[in-house]
Amino acid sequence: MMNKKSMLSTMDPNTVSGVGRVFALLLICIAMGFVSPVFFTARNISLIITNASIMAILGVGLTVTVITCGPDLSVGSILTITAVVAVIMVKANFHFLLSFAVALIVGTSLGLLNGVLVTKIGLPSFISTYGLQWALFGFAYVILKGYVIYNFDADFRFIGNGYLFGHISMPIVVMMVVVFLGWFILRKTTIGRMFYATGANRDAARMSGIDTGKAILLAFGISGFLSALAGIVLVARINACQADIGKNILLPSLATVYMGGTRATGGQGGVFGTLVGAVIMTVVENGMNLLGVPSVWRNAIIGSLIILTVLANIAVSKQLEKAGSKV
Amino acid sequence: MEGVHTLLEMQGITKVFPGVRALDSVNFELRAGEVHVLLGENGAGKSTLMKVLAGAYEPEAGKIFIDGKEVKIQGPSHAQELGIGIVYQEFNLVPYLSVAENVFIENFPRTRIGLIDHEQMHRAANELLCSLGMQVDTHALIHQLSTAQQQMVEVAKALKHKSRILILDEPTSSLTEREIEQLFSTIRELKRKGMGIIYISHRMQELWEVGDRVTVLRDGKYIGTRSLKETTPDELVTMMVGREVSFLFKRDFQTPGEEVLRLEGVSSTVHRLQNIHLTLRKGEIVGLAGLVGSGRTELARTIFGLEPISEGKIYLFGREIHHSSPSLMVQRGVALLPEDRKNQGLALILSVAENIVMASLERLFPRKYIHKQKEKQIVAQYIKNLRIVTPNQNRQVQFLSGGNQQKVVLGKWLCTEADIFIFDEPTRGIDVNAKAEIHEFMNELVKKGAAILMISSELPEVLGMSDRIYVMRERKIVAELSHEEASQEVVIRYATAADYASQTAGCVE
Repeated sequence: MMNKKSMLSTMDPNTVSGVGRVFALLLICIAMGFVSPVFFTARNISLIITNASIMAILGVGLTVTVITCGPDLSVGSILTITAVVAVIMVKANFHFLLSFAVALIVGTSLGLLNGVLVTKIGLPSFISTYGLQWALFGFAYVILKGYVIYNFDADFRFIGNGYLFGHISMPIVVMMVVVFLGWFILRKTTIGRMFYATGANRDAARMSGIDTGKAILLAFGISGFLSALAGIVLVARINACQADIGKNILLPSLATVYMGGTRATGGQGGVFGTLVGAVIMTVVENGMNLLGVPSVWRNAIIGSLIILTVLANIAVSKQLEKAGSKV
Repeated sequence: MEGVHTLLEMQGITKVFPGVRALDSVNFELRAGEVHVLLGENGAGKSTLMKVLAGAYEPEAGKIFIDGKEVKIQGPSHAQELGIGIVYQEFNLVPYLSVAENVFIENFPRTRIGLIDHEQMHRAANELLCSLGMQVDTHALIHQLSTAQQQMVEVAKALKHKSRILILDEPTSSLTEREIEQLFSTIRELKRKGMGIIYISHRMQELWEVGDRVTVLRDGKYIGTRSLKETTPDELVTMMVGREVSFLFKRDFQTPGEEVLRLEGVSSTVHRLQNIHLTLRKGEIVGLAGLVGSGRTELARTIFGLEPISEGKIYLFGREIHHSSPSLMVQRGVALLPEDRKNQGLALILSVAENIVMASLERLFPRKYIHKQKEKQIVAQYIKNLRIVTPNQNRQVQFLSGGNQQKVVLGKWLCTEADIFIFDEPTRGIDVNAKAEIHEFMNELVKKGAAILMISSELPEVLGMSDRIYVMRERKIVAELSHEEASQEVVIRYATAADYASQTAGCVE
């Protein structure tokens, strides 16, 4: 007969802690269902996931960079600048698809710029991405000068507020595609392996013939691309854009990555954890809305939640190590 | 030397590590005003003996007397109180702190309210350094100093407790000729003041310049003590080698095939390598012998494209390599098993499977899609063939034993189907059984037509496994020896530059 511990040790550790996380999410949801009758309505669930989607799209990019070499702190600013580019182009009567394409290209290029600063110039990723963040926010203000651009065509807005097959909201569709692709690249391709190896031990990866510079460049490129995508979905959804649109989005998104069990120093983690983390964050926010929790308390609750989740992650992985080291 | 005061006496010192008897009843004696050289091969027990004296290790048996009184050294700070100062080969200095701060880092002089007394600290540091004949601004930062000056700061640090016993571990290994001269005059000055100095060195020629007596250790055993005036390099080499070559594994030697690797006059500014000529052929194991710091690892890294060459040419399978890099070398079939396997050979937090396929991703999955089933089968095959003990493929390698970790590194490179393997200390720190297994795998590899360049500090390993041996000294290759000409004595002679005493066949210079 197999006891619990030896069974744990034969399973992929990522799977075990992932199951634990989903379990926690379910518990929170059931609790919400008890205290608020509207929580489990289709409309509310759809609202939660839609709200989680922007964070999750950014979160996937952040997961990739955290795994490979350190968080891309410029995601909020890339989101902003690409959103600005996209809305200015549609307002100048360019085709909306062309404006999307240009925004995505600009976002990817900015991500690659981060990669070049880190790999070729040798800047710490904290400095290059943090510096780029301020530069891009500055540009956004220079361009928009405090104005709000709003009211876009239905074509443009479809990706943010439309429904696929009449029921599934478009941000959810985009998020699902992004999470699936993120999972596929990380888990099923040699590119993903390069990311993990580079983050786990850059020296060993390099001495195994892995082009670690290319891995870092690619990771930041993906992050830039997804920031632009999140920016497009966001402005399309709220039907307006101003220079501070992405100002407060980095830290919550990064928190979902760590809540999702991705190792802060790289080499371990995945996008499903991040997705669950993003949903937990939004569920709690939504719950506080439904329950009418005074807004002054909300930040304190979110903050404690982040710390508690990460502590739980650490406890679970320690348990796993113990179970494993006995073999 | 009659009637001279005996400062230190160590009797029957024994120190056991799991699986190794590092010191076996070793005796050592130091007089006031003498330089006593401690001589032996890598791993003979010199450093262990000094660490016992410095309080870093507690011996299992043996007695230590200072000034004729028995003492029990409780730890490093106790050793300092007893007047024992040690300067390790690797400096322990903080580069961005000042000279004075480094000297007193373990115990800063304090003012009455508990702040650091900078005035007192700089005055005391200045006095100490002046007494060593060194003039340097005590406010200067360590990283602005030359290596020799940094060493003097280490000496000052070791002497600040009014030490009377000073241990110098390989003090000349990173100094220039002129700096060595300065060091020697400082040593003579300290001797004159009645201090006893224990001097660890491999460099045969300098012993007579600075030393009075010499004690030889071999395999953790005390071999003998001689006055340097009454001994010769030959006698010392014989004492160092002494033992018979008992070897674990019998190689099957064969006629080597075509040339696969060739270095022509390779120099490297980064690693200070000078004019290296080397060839490697199919089906042979070539040993790279030399002392620690002679440039063997650096040469391996340079061949593998980790650092650029400044001069010369490298040919792989007859074609010159330009713009070398590890990824290019792996693609062309070169493997490097680094000495530091935990930091360079393995990603400890990744699984056995992920580590084994790490260097073969492009070869195994050219379409970039990782076929899980294929990966599982391949990994299972290496786990079985190399007899890697792990509960499953998903196990993080950090939980494996040293021998099994080394097998994972080996598996990683076998998986690339490389033709050229560079092994850097392949069996260091692993147990006897795993060692024999690794030798067996190496033998099989060359039988199948691979070529191996093996760096090892264990002479029996080099002598037993190699078809040919290159000996390195001071970043140069100083000899190429065939399996037949090579013996421990000859290799040590070249490695330590004792060859001026008797010319042996096979000299390249």
